[in-house]
Order: sequence, then structure tokens, then C-alpha cells
Amino acid sequence: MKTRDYLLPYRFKIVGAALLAATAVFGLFVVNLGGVLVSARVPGLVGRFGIPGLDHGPAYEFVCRQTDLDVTLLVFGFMLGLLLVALSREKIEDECMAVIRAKAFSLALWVSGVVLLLCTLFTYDVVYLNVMIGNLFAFPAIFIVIQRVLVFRFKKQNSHEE
Amino acid sequence: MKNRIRVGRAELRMTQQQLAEAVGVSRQTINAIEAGRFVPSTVLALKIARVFGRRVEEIFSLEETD
Repeated sequence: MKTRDYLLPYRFKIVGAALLAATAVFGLFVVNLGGVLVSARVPGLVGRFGIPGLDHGPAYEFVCRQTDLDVTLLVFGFMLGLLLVALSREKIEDECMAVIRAKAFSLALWVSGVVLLLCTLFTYDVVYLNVMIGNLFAFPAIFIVIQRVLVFRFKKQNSHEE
Repeated sequence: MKNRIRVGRAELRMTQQQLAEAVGVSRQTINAIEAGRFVPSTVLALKIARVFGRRVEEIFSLEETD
């Protein structure tokens, strides 16, 4: 009687970790070299800035235009890497791992939620914008950290054969 | 909940790793169940009992505090 757990096979965890490492290296290049490393003509949804009171058209439009993709690739690669690591099975995914996964999920939700609430109260302007950008990755990143800690403690606690 | 998994393993001269492989979990999970740190699901308890050739009630029993 198997229930679906919506987890990817273990090999995707390795792919995700490699993607995170590659994205980190690319991020170092972007920060240190400056300028634009990747630019292309891509389709996308953009805001339409009209004349207030005169322009009654739609607020957004779908266009195809030349744009810098450095940040896009960084965000995409980092988020995809986090998702692959978080949503892949362990080497042996049994019911103990499922309990650990559920605990890590709850704890991560608490931590990221409380951090966001505190930051909302005590940060403003550009600092708050940076907080919201960081918040994109907060939950999966915190989940992975907590899960790894719980798995490490579980394996250490139950490592000796009796 | 109490269990007699260690007794069952000793009777069959089975290691934790062998029992883990027989029921499809990790050795650490078997260790955690034996030490009372983890309560197995019904399916896992039935699998363990089947490996030992005994009934589930002979392997697992409730404590007063349960």
C-alpha cells in the first residue's frame, strides 16, 4: 500500500546541489566582474507606464525585448537548485525520514514566518525590499538546513549496533 | 510502547542491518524502533512480525502510559 509522496529520486538531490554550486560560482562572477554577462532577447510580462489620468490602457503588456539575464539566471538557478535538493528522496527514504521531513517542514515554516514578521516590523524602504527578495529563498533554504540537522542527529543517535 | 525486536533478532541470529533490509528501512530506523525512540507504522510492524514468524502482539505491546 504505497502512498504518493511527490518526491524526486535521490539522484536529483545531487543535481540540485551541483546546480546550487554552479549558481554560486556564477553569482561570484556577476558580483566581481560587474557589467552584464548574459543578455538576450526574451519574451515576458512588463509593467506599462502611462500618463496618470490619461492612459486607460492595461497595466501590463506582453513584449519581447533585449534584456540582461544575469539576475534572472541567478534567481532561477538558485531556486531550482533549492527545490531539487529539498524535494528529492534520501538514499533510504523510509517512514522515519518521512517523519523527519514533516518536522523540518513545520520548523522551517515557523522560522521563516517569524523572521518575516520581525523584518516586516523593523525594516523599511530598500532594506525591506532586500528582505522580501531574500524571503523568496528563505523557506526552502531553511527547510534544507533543518532537515539536514535532524537527519544528522537521527543517524548519530542510532548509529551504534546493539 | 514496548517491543521484543532484539529478542526476535537474537533468536534468528539476525543483525539490525539484515532486519532493515528484510523490511525495507534503514538500519538506523530499526535501531530507533528497538530503543523506543520511534513508533513504527502498522505496515512496518506487520512486516517485522512476518520476518520473525510471530504475531504483531508478540513483538509489540502497549505500556501503561500509552
